[in-house]
Amino acid sequence: MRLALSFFALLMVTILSAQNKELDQHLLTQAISENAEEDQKYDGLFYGLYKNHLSRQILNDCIYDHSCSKFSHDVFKHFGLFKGLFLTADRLTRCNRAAFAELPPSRINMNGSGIDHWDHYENND
Amino acid sequence: MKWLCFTCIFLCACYTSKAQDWQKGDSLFAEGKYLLAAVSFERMYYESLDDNVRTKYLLKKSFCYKALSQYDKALAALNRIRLKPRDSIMKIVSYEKVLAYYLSEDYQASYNEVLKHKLLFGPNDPDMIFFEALNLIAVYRWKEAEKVLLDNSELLGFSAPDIEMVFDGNKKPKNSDKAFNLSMFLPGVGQMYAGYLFKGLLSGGIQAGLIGASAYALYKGYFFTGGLTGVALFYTFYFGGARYAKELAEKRNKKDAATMSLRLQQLK
Amino acid sequence: MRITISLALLIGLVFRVHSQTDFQLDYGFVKHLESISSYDEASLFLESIKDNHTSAGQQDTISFYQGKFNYLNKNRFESISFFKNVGKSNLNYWNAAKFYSALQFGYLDNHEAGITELSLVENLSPEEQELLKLEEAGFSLLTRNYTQFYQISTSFDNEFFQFTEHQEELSRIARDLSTHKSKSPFLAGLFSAIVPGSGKYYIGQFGRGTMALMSNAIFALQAYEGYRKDGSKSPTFIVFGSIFSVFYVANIWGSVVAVRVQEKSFYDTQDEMVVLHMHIPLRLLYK
Repeated sequence: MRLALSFFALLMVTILSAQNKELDQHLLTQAISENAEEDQKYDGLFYGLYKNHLSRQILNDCIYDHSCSKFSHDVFKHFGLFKGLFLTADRLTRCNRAAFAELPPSRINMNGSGIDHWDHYENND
Repeated sequence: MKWLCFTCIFLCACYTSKAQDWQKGDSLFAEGKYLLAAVSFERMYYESLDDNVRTKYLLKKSFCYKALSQYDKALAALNRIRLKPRDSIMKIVSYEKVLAYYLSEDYQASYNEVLKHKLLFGPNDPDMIFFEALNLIAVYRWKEAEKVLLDNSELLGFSAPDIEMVFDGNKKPKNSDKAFNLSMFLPGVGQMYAGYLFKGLLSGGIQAGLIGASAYALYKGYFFTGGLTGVALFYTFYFGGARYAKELAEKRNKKDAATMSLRLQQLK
Repeated sequence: MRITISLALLIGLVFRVHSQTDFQLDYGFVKHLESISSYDEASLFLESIKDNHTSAGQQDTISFYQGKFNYLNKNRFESISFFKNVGKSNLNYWNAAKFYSALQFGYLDNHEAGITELSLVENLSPEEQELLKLEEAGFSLLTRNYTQFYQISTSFDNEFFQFTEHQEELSRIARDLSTHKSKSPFLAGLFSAIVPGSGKYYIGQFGRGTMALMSNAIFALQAYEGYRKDGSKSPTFIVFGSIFSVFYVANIWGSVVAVRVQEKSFYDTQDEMVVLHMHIPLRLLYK
């Protein structure tokens, strides 16, 4: 009995020595300060104003993983003014529940958003 | 005969050294090789038969994953521990679960674990009281959190004014449904209620402008322009704004909770 | 002297038994890690014991499990390279490794490599032979070789209940693929130019077609209103006229582009289904 008790005491000591409260405190502080951090701010006069203050004010539950504004940003950057403009306008008419119902399973990601990126429209003149 | 002895020793050394490879989890942990240490503890768990010893290894394995900030895996190891709930080693397991759930941002589970801990091991553990307050703050039950801290201020070693400081007079979270309704009643007010003045003004301003423009267009006889563009845009901003007010109220609560937790953590 | 030699032999034997039991212990531990789904830990463990066990059989076992755990963690390239190291010391491992690598190649769109892997299997059990047919049929669909698919599918055996559902599904996909008619981008564009949105109706996207029609109609009506009330030089007409033109052109262009995007996603979806129906029976067999 005494042996078992002393063995158990030894066990507790080894565990307690491994249990590092200082590390715990450090992890806690880190996690809490991460939560207290400010949101991401977007750059650019119009894109920034839109993304920081306006985009969520619009009833625009974008159905795609790359939102319409990001898609537009990308196509203007990669395809220039004309193609960018038309692809954006086409995309806006495709951003609704009716269009989502017609997406094939391979174009829906794990979070239930449609997959539609600028590079799907390459080599289309 | 001599070479035989040498072979013997060599082979024995080989065998024993190989067998010991997976018994050095503690030193691997000390060296900071946490993943290898975790495997090593799992191996020791696999090779031992005694439940107390097995618990020790699972606990140590969870320390490895905690050090790697992989709290789900730490919890998976902790949740495999099967001992009688009142076993004194379970006190440590319970503390680790509370911490891991808190760090993986599952505050409700962490709070439940705190309550279980208090029930099994008595209500006077300062660590648990601290976590109870942290979890209550995280689920926006700030009044209760303050009460818990004030009731146990001596145990924790905090003074009452310090605790008041943590909450800074803010004991009521923003009601997100109220923010939504306010914005439905008067566009932009919900956002202001949530504490975002500029966003509220912007939303209210845009909607007022749209109403004005549509009315003007209709008055001038532009029925399509006023009716379609004006009303459609107003519709999206009106409902979008109300939804955003709700979102902002939740965001404000989250931010406030984080600030309070930070202040409380700094008190320690 | 004789005693010395026999003693040495005895010690050698003991060591061999030890290393064998050592391996048995390690193997048991690997199975234990597999049973608790700790694939990362299992991979790490195998990596660190692979120098301790040098016999061909042991090396093959280790490589096989390294490949399997990487496959379970969806590290396709790594799993293929580990499966490559599996030798023929145990044909069960060899065959399973070939089947798994072929499947990984199927996921990676490297069909030729997949077919090559399948051609290397040896001494198959009846179930494995049926699986081989299923996998080969899958690859013939992925490479759009329909005549080969029909050749294989006529030899499908219905006796293996775990495969029948997937055999039927593959046949259905083969029908869909071989009867699929491609739409013409030119026609889609032309229809959309005549009536906005109708190009999308033509390719079967009714919701999108309607939305395109509606947005065009809304802007057209407003432009018309501006023109009727204020004339062709008024700002209302110019603004809504330009917006309408953009949406009109976008509707034509979008219909043309949509044909290609839809074709691609049709084939992608079918390929995904094919690989899925190659995958499930494999998992069932080597569970």
